[in-house]
Amino acid sequence: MNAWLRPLIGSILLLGAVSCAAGERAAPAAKRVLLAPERAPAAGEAMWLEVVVGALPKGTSLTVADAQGNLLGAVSPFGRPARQAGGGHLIPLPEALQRAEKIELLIALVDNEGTRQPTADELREVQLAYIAASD
Amino acid sequence: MLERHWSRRRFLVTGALAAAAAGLPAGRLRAQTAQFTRYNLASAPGKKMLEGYKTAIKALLKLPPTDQRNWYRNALIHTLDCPHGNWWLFPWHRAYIGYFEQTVRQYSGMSDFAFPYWDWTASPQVPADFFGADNPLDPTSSYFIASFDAFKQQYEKPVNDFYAGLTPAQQQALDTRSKLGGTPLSTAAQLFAALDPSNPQGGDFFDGAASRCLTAAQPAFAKPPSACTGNCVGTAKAVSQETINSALAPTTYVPFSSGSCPQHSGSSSITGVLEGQPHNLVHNCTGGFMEAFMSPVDPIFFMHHSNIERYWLIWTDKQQKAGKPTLPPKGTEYDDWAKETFLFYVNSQGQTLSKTAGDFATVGSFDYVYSPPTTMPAPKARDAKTFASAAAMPADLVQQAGAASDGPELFAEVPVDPEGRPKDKVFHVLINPPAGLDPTDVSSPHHVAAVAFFGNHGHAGHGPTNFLVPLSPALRKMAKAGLLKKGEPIRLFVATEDQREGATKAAKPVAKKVETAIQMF
Repeated sequence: MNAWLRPLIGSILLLGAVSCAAGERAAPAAKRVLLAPERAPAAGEAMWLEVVVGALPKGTSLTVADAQGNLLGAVSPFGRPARQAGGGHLIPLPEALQRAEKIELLIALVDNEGTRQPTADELREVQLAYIAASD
Repeated sequence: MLERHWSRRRFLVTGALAAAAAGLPAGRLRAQTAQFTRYNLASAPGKKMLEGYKTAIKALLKLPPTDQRNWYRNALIHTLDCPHGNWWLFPWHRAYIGYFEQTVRQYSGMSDFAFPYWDWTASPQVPADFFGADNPLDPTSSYFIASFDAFKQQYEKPVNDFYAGLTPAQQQALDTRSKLGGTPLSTAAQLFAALDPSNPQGGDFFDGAASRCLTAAQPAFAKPPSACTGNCVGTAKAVSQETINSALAPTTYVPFSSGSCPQHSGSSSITGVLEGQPHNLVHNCTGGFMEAFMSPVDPIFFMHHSNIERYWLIWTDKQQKAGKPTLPPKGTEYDDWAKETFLFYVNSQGQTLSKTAGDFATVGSFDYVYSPPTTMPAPKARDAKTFASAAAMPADLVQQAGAASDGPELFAEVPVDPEGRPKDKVFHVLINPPAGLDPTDVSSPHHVAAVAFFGNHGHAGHGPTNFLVPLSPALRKMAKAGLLKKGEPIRLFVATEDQREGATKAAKPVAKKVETAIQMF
C-alpha cells in the first residue's frame, strides 16, 4: 500500500437496485453502496473515493452518484489493457460528503443502450482514501 | 484556531487554481522567456497555429510509411510504448508530444510553431475547427486512410521491416508490454491483429466515419450522439473546474499522478484524478481513434495532451510556491521513476532515441511555455480589504462576487460556539435564508458551508471560534438561481445541527442571524 494512500475500508453494504429519475444526474438502475468514514479528513487532507473495477466492456462507463443522483464522477479506463485489467480509480468527493457520517452512493454501468447495475466483477470494491491535499 | 486557518488557506489555494486555469490578465503574471508558446486553440494565435498544423498534417500523411515521422508511424509509437495508469504518463507524453511538436514545426511552415491546447473546461466539446470533410484536423476526412485493409496494405512491409530492425532492448520492451498489457505486440503480425477492427475485443484502428464518435452536429460531451453515450457519461463533470481543482489538490506527485509500478507498460493499483477523469474521459468520449492506443491518428490528440501537460505545469508551480515536492521523493522512489527507459521516440530528423523518464522531469530543451502562463497567481493578487460587517460592504461588491468566477472573493468570519460538545455538532452557514428553508439542506444555493470541529481535542471547553468561510461560490449559485436580488444586503445565519442519534428529529436546527466581519481578497 502506498504511503500516500491510507484507504479506510468502510463497511460496504450492497443493498441492491434502486430506481431514480433518468439522465446524467441519476442512475435508473444502480447499485447502492454505503460507506461509513471512521473520521473526517484532517487539515491538509481530502477524503476521496477509490473505486476498484474489474474488466469493463468497451463503450461503457461506471458512474458514481450521490444518494440524490448527483454525478460525482465516472470510471472509464483508457485503452484496451486498462479495460481488461481494471484497477483503482480516484474520484473526488464534494466537501459536504467529506464531512458526512455516512456516504451513500449509487453506482451504475452505462452503455449506449442504457444503464444497469454493475456485476460483482465489474465493481469490485469502493473504499475511502485520505489524500494529502492543499488546504 | 486551526480551523480558521484551514478554511482560509484551503480556499485561497483552490481559488488560485481556478484563476490560473481560467486565465488571468498577463500583466499580473511572470514574463514568458521560452522560445515557443502553446496558446489556447480558441485564441487568435492558437487558430494561427492550427493553420500551420494543417499544413504539417497534410505533409506528414504524405511521407512514405518507411519514414518514422509519417503520421501513422508516429501514432504507432504510442500504441507500442505509451504508459497509462501509472506515474510515467506525464513524462512519457511530455516527450512524445515535445518531439513530435518539433517535427510538426519543421513541416508547418512556421518557425515558431507550438501545439495549441484544448481547454475543455472552458469549452467542453470538440471545437468546430476540427470537423470537415476537407479538413485535415478531422480523422474522418479524405486526408486519412479510410479502412484498416488499406492501411495494412500500405504499412505491412514497413512495419515488418521496423520489427526486423528492433534492438534487443526494444524487443524486450515489447515482450514485456505484451505480457503486462494482455495484448501481444511482440511481432508485426500481433500488432496488426491488435489494430484489426474485426478483432472481437475491438481493434485500435477505426474505419472512415468511425474514426471519431463526436460529430460536427453533436460535438458536446454533454449531448453526444447515442453511439457515444456509454463513453461520454460523466465527461462534462470530469472536465469541470470543480474536478480540475480536486485533481490539482494533492501535495505529492502520487496521487497527483497515477501510482508507481515496476515497468511503464504495466498498470499501478491506482489511477489519479487528472488521468482517470479528464484525460481518460475526453479520450473515450471523443471516441474512434481517440479511445484507443492509436489515438494520435486523430489530430486533436495533441491538443488534448497539451492541456494535460498544462495542468502538470500548473500543479508543479503550485507545489514550488508551497515549498512542496514536484516529483517522487528523492532516493529510491525518484530513482525508480527517473531511470525508466523509453526506447521508441523519434526526433524531427526521423532518428530513434533512447531516453529515460528523468530526462523529462522538466520541459527542458522543448523550450515552450503556455499562454496564459502556467503559474499560480499570488494569493493576494486582488487588493485585500476588511469590512466591519456585511452591511458596511458596497452593494455592488456582492453583485460582482455573484456575477463571475473571477469576481471578488468574499469571506465571512463566522462565529461558532461549540457549547462544550464540539464533536456532536455541525454548523450550517447560510446567506439570506428564506422562511421555511431546511438549514441542513446543503444543496440549497443559500447554504454556504457546513463547518465542524475536528476530533475531540483542542476545542472542548472553548468559547466561540471564528471560521473563515468563503461566500463567493454561494453568491454565484444564488445569482445563477435568480436569488441574488440587487441592492439586498447580505445577512448571514448559522444553524447548529446536533448529530447525536435522534437529536435532529427532537429539535430541528434553527438558523440564527450572526454579525460578522467580511474580508475581500
